[in-house]
Amino acid sequence: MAAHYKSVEMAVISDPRNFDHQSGSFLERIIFNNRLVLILVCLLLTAFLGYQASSLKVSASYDKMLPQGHPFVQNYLQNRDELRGLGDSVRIVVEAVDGDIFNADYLQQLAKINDEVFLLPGVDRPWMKSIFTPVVRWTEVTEEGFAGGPVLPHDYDGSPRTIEDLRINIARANVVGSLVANDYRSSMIVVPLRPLDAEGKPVDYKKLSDSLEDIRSRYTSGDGAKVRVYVIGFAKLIGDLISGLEKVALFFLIAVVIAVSIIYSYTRCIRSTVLVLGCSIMAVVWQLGLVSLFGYQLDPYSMLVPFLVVAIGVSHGAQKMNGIMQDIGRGTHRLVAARYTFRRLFLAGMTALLADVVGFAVLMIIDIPVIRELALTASIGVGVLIFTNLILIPVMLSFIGVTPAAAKRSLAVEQAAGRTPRGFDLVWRGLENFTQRRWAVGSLAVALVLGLAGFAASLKLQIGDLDPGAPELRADSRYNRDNAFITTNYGISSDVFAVMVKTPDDGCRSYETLVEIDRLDWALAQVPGVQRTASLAGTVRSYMAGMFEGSPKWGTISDNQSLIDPQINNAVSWNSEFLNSNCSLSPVLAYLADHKAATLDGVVQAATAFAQRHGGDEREILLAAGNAGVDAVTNMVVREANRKMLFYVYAAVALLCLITFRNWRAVIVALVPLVLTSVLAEALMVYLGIGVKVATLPVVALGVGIGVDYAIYLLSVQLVFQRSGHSVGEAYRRALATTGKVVALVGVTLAAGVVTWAWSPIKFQADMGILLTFMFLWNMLGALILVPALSHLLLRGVSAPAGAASAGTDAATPAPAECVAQTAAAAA
Amino acid sequence: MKCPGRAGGRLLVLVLALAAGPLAAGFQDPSEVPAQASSLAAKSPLTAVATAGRRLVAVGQRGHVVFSDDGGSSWTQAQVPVSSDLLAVHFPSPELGWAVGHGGVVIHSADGGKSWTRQLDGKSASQLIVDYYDRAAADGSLAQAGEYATREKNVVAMGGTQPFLGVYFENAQRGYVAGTFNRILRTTDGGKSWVPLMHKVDNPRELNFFNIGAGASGLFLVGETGSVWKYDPGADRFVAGNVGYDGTLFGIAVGGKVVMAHGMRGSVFRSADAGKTWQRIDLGSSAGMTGAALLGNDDVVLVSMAGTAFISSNNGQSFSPLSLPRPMSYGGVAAFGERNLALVGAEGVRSAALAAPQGLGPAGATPSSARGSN
Repeated sequence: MAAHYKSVEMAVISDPRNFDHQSGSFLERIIFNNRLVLILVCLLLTAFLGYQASSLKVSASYDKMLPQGHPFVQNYLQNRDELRGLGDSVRIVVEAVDGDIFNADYLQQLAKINDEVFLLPGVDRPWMKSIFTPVVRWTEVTEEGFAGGPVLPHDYDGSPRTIEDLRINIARANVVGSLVANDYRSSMIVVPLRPLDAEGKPVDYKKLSDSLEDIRSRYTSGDGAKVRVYVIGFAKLIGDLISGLEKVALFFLIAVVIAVSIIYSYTRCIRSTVLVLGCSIMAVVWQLGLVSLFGYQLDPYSMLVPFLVVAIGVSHGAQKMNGIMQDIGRGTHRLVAARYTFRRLFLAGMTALLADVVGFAVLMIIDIPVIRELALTASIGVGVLIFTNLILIPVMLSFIGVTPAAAKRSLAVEQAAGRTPRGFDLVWRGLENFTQRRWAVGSLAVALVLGLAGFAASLKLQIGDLDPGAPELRADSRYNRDNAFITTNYGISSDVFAVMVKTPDDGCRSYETLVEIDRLDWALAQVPGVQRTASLAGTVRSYMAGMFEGSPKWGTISDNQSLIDPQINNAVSWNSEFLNSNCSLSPVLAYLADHKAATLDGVVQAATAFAQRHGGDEREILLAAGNAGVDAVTNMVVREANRKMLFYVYAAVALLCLITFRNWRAVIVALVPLVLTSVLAEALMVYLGIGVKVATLPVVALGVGIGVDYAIYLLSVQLVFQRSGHSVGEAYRRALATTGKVVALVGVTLAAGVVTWAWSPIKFQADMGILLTFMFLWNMLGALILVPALSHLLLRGVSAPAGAASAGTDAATPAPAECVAQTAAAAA
Repeated sequence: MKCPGRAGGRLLVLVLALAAGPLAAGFQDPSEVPAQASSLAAKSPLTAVATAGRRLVAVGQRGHVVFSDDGGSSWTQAQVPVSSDLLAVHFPSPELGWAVGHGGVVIHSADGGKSWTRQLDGKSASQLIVDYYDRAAADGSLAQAGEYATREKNVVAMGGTQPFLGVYFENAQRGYVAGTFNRILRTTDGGKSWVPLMHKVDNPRELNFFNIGAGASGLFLVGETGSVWKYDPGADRFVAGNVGYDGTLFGIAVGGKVVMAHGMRGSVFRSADAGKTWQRIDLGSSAGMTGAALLGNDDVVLVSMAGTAFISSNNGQSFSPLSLPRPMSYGGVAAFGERNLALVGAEGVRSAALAAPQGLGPAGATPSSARGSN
C-alpha cells in the first residue's frame, strides 16, 4: 500500500476531467465515485438516528453507581430485599415557620404532606417513618407492665390535649434527634424507596423529585405559609442533577459558538466552518441515536460525551479542511483536492481517533456501570466521527469547496517563511528554538522540576469525596443547604455504613448471635469518625430493660433465651429495621461524621478484622450496605482502577505510537509530555481539593488518549522530514509550519469545548471541565515544547545522512500531510 | 464465603475467605472474654459508681471499669477479665473492691480498682448453691435444704445464668452478693469461698433482689413489690418488710438518721427508724429513681433514668429539682469530697460540684444547680 501511495503524484489538477477517477485506494474509489449515494445514506441515517435520539431519556439510577462485581456490593445486592430502610431513601424535613412543632397548624400541614408523600409512586409505604406513621412507636414501663403504642395518639384531633399527648409520646419514643429536631422546631419524614414501583418498573427518580418539588412549592409558597420544607436523599439528588443537566444545553451552545469562532478566525471561510461544525453535530446526533437504539440512557456522566465528540470532531474536521484548502489554494479542483486530502489524512486521522478510542475504551475495565456506559457512549461517538468527519467532510467539501480568499490565505502560511515574522509567527519561531541544545536542556530541566514537584504533591491525592453533603453539587446548592440544615438540627448523619450479620432462619434471636452483634456494634463504635452505632443488640438491650421496670441494670443481652425471645418478638411485630421477618439477617449500622476515604477505610478495616475473628458458618458477617458502604467500595474500586487504568492507557498508547513511529525513542519523545501532564493533573487535583472519584477517574484516561493525538500529528511529520534527510531543527520547523499549527488549534478548540463546564451547577462537571481544560492545553504545550527538546536529545540519529535529500523548494517538498499519510499507511 | 470474586476484589475475597476459615474460634461468652480497652469506656453506658478512698470507680456495660483520681476530671480504664455487663461495685477499703454483674460474674480488685480478677461466674455460682443444699439435705443439717436445691436446679434448667445485681462488703473478708430469684451469697474469706444464704431470707416468692446497701442503720436488701429485707445480726436472717408499694425498688441509701429506698415511677420512701416504718415522699415525678446518695450533712440526692435529679436539704423529708449540667439517663450516683457527686448513666460518668448548703429556709422554692465537669 505504501508503495502504491508513493507512486501517486499529487499534481495540481484544476479540471476534474483530467483526474483519474480510478486512482486512489479501494476505499477512496468507493467513497468518491458514489458521493451522492453516500450523502443520501448519511442523510437517511441522520434522520433515522435523530428520530431515535429524540426518545432518549436522561436518567440516573442508584444501582448503576454500584461497583457490581465487588463482593461487598454482591453481598448487599443479595440481601437488599431483607434490609429495611437501608436502601435508598428520601428524608423530608418540615419546619414550623413560627414556634415549635406543637401547634395545630403545623401538625395539620405535616399530616397533609405526610399523606401526599405516602401516595407517591415508589415509596415503600410500610416503612415510611414520621411522627404520623404507625411504625413509629413509644414504649414505657408501668407497675402493670410494658405499655406502648404509635407516637400519634389514636384519638388525635388537633386539640391541645391530644397535642400534649403527642408531645409526651415523642419524648417516650426517643425520636428526638432522629424524627424530631433537637430544637423541636421541625420534624422529619423518612421515605424509603422501592427499587421497582407497583408496576414493576424502575422508579423514575426525576418524576419523584419533581413531585417532591411540587409538594414543597405548594406548602411553602405565599405569605401565609406555615412551614418550610427541606428534602435530601439520592432520588432528590438525581432529580437536582438532571435539572442541572438541562442547563447543560446552554453550555453546549456556548461551546459551539467558541469552537466556530476559533475555526473561523483560523480559516476565514464560513461555508467550510459551518460544514465542519454541522458534521460534528451530526456525529453527536448519530451517537445519541445509537445510544438510544442500543437501549441505553444518558446519565449525568455520559451527558458530557457529546461535548467531547463535538470538540474532537471539530479538531479533526479542521485538519481535513486545512488540507483541502491548501490544495485548492494551489489551484487544484475541489473534488481532486478532497480526494488528495482523503488520501493523505484518512489513515492519520484514523490513528489519532483510534488513540482516542483507546483512551475511552480503557475505562471499560472499571467495574461501575455508569463509567462503562460513559466508555461505551464515548467510543460510539468517536467511532462515528470516522464516518462523519474523516469521510463525509471531504465528500461534502468536494461539492461546496471553500471560499477562494480563504484558500489563498491558507497558503500564506507556507509562503511566510521568507517574511519578517509578525504576531503568531513569532511564537512559531520561538518554538523552533527548543531544538537547540541550550533551550532543549533548559526546558527539560524545567519539566523535570515541575514533574518532581508535581509528583511530590500528587502523593497527597485523596480518594473519594472530600466535602460534606452531596459533592456532586456545589456547596451553596439548595440540596446541600438542605443537607446542612438537617445535619445541624438532627443527631443522625446521612452517611450510614452497615455490616450485615446473616444466620440461618430464626438465628438472629440466639444469645450468641446477639452478643456478636453487640461486639460488632462496639467494635465499629471505636473507629474514628463513627458518631453513633445502632443494632439489634441495642434494641434488645432497651426492650429487655423495659421488661424489668426500665431499670438500666437490665439493659443487657441475657444469656437466658426465654428472656430474649419476647424482645425479638416485639422487634418483629414493631417492624424493627434491625432484623428481617424470618430473623436471618440483622444489619449493624455505623453513622459516620463524613464520607472521607480515611473514615471509610477505618470502618472497613474494623469490620473486616471483626469478620475474620467472629464470622463463621453459623453467623456470616458480611460487608457492606448503606450509602457509606457503597462509598467505601467505590473508593476501593476507584483506587485500584486509577493505577490499572493509567497502566493500560499508557501501554495502549505506547503500542500505537510504536506502530506509527517504528522507533522506540520517538515513543519516549511522545509519551514524556503526557506523563508530565498526568502527574501535574494529579497535583492540580490536590491543589483544588478534588479527589479521585467516579467523576474524575475518566478524565486522566481521556487526557492521555486525546493528548497523544498531538504527538502523533507532530512527530510523524517531523520523522518523515528527518528520514528524508533534514536535521531535527529543520524537520521540526517544517512540521510546525503545517500540522503544528493545527495542533495548537486543536488544543485551543478542545479546551474551549470543555472549559464552559467549569460554570456548571453540577460540581463534578465543573471539576471534570477544569481538569480536562488543563490537560488539553498542557498536553498541547508539552507537545510543542517538549517534543522538540526531547527530539534534540533522542532523535538526532534518525535524520538521514546529509545529502540524501536536498533542502529543495517548498513546491518540490512533498506536502507534510502526505508524509503523514505515508507513515500511517506504512503503519496500517 | 459465597462471594463470587472478580479481579477487582481478589484481596478482599481472600480476606473474607479467611474470615470463615481457621481464624474463627467459635463463640466465647463475655464472662470469659476480657473487656476491650476503649477510649469510649468512660462515655459509654455505666451502671454504678462507688468511692475507693479518694478514688472514684465506675462500672458498666461490656465489662467496663473506669477510675478517676482527680475527682472525676479524667478517667482511666481498668484491666477486667470479663466483658459482661457489670451492675454494682463496692469498696470496703481504698484497696479492696468487688463488682458484680450479668453472667453471674463476681470480680475483685486488690489495687483500688486498677486491675481485677474473676472470683465467681454464674455457672459455678449455681453449682456451689446446688452442691451446698444437696449436701445439707444429705446430712440433714438444714430443713428444707432439698427445696432450695430444687429451686436452684429449676433456675439452672431455665438456661443461661443469673445475674448478681448488688454487692456489699462489710470489711476485707465478709461480704454479700445478691441477685435474681432470692439468690444471695456470703463470703467470709474475701471472696475465696461463698456460702448461699437463700434459706436465711424471708422471701418465699423468690422475689428478685435489685440491690443491697448498708450503713449505720443496718444492712438492707431491696427488690420487687416494694420489698425491703433488713439483716438481723442476732438471728443471722434477712427479715422481710415492705414500704407499702407494689412496684420494684431499685436501690437503697442507708444513713444514721435516715434510710431512703427508691424505685420505679418516681417512688421514694423514707424511714427515720432504721427501716421499721416507711413514709412515701412525693417528688412530683413519674421517672424511675435509679440512684440515691447521702451527703455528709442532711442532704440527699436522687437521680432518675429520665435524666432528672432532686435534692433534699432536710434529711429527705422534701425534695426540690436539682439542675445538673448535661443531663443523661442516670443509673447511679455517689457522693465524694465536700459536696461532690459522681454520676453514671447512659452516657458514661460525670462529676458535679454542689452549691453550698441552702441553710434552713424552705426547700423547693428555687431549683438548685450544680457545676459539672467531664
